Amino acid sequence: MDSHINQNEADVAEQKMLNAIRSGEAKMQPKWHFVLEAALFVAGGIIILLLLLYLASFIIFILQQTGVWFAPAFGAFGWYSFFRSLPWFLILLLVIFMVIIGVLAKRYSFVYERPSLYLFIGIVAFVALGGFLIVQVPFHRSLFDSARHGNLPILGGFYRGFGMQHFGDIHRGTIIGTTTNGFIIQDNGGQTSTIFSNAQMHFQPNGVFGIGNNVVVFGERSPSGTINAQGIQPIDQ
Amino acid sequence: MEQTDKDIAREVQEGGREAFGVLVLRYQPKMARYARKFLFRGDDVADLVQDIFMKAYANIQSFDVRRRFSPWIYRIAHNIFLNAMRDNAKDRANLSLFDVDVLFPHPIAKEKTDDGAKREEMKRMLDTSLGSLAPKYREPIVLYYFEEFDYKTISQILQIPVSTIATRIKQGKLMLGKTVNPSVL
Repeated sequence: MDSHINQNEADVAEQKMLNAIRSGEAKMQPKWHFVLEAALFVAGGIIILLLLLYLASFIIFILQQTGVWFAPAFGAFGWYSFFRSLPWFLILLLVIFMVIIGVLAKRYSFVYERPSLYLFIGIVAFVALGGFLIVQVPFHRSLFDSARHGNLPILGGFYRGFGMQHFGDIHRGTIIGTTTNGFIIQDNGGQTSTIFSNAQMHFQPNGVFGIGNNVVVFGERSPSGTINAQGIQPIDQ
Repeated sequence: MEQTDKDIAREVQEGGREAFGVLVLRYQPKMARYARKFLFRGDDVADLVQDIFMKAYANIQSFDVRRRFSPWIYRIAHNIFLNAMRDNAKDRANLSLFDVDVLFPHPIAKEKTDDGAKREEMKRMLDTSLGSLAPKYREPIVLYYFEEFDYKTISQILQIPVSTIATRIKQGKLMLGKTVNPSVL
C-alpha cells in the first residue's frame, strides 16, 4: 500500500517536472554560467590571498620601521607599549580578510571535512609565514622610500602615514652624533632626538654604539627633543 | 543494464532534458522521506521536493559527472530544508547560527555495521522519537539511519567535519537514550 502511494507521488512529481521543463518554467543555467562563477570565485580568492599577504607584510614592515616591533625587548612596559602602538585598524582589516578567505575555502571538501581549527591555524600560519618572507625582500622598503621622496602617487600617503608615525615612548633612528652621556638619533622622517643614557637604565645595551648604527630607544620624548632612555636596543638595518 | 544516475545527469547536460524525469522518479521517494524525517512535518513536503528538483534541474550543468550524484542532490535538499526552517518561526528558534562543535577535532567513533534486525529496530525507535531532537542532531541521524549514507558522504552533504558528524550522531542517540529503550542504542 505504502509503496503504491510512493510510486504515485513519484509519478506525479515526474509529470509536474516534465511539464515545467516543457513549458519553460524550469530553466537550466548554461554551463558557461558556472564556469564563469568558478573563475570569478578563484580570481576573487587569489586577490584576497594577495591582499592578505600584502597587508600582513605591510604591518610587520611598519612595526619594524617605527620600532614598535622591538618594544617587547624592554620588558612588561615594552609589551604594554607594543600593544598600545599596534595598527589595530589594519589588524582588523587583516582579520576580516582572513574570515573571508576562510569562508571561501569552506567550499572545498578537503577544508570542510576537517575541524575549522585546522583551517584557522593554516590561514594564520600562511599569513604569518608569507608576511615574514615578503618583508625579507625590499618590496615595501622601495615603496616606502619612494613615498618618502614623494614619488609614489596613490599609496604614498598610506606608506608615509603608517611608516613615519611617532610614538610617545618608542623611537627608532640612526645615530648621527655622540654626546658626553649619550648620542643623537635621526628618524626616517628627519626628526632628531638627543638620547641620555645612564647606568640607571632598566635595560643596559649590549656593545658600543657608533655613528651610523640603528637603534630603538625606549623612553618618553620631551618637547625639546630629549629622551632619558630607559632602554636602548641595537637593531640591524 | 540500467543507466546510472551520473549517466542520466550527463544525458540531461547534453540536451536530453526529458531524461531528468528518470532522476525525479528515482529520487522523489528519497527526498520526500528525508523531508518528512528531518523537518517533521508533512503539509508542504510535496512543494519542497518539487523545489529540490527545480533547483537541481537549473543547476545540473554544475554537477561534476566524475562525482556521485546522490550527495549533490542531497546537498541541494539540505539547503532548501534549511531555508524552509528559517521561514518558519518555530523551526527558526531551533537553528543555531554557529556551532562550536565544528571548530575542534573530536575522536571519531568507528562506524558500526549493525546487523539488519538491530538496524530496523533502531529505525522504528527513531521514527517515533526523532522529533524531540534539535535539527543539528536529527539531520545526521536521518542521513545515517534512513538514507544509509556513511559519515564521509554525510560530511559532503552537510559540509561539516566528519568527526563532527560522528559526534552528533553519538550525542543524538545518547539524548534519545533517555526517553527510549537504551538497549537498542
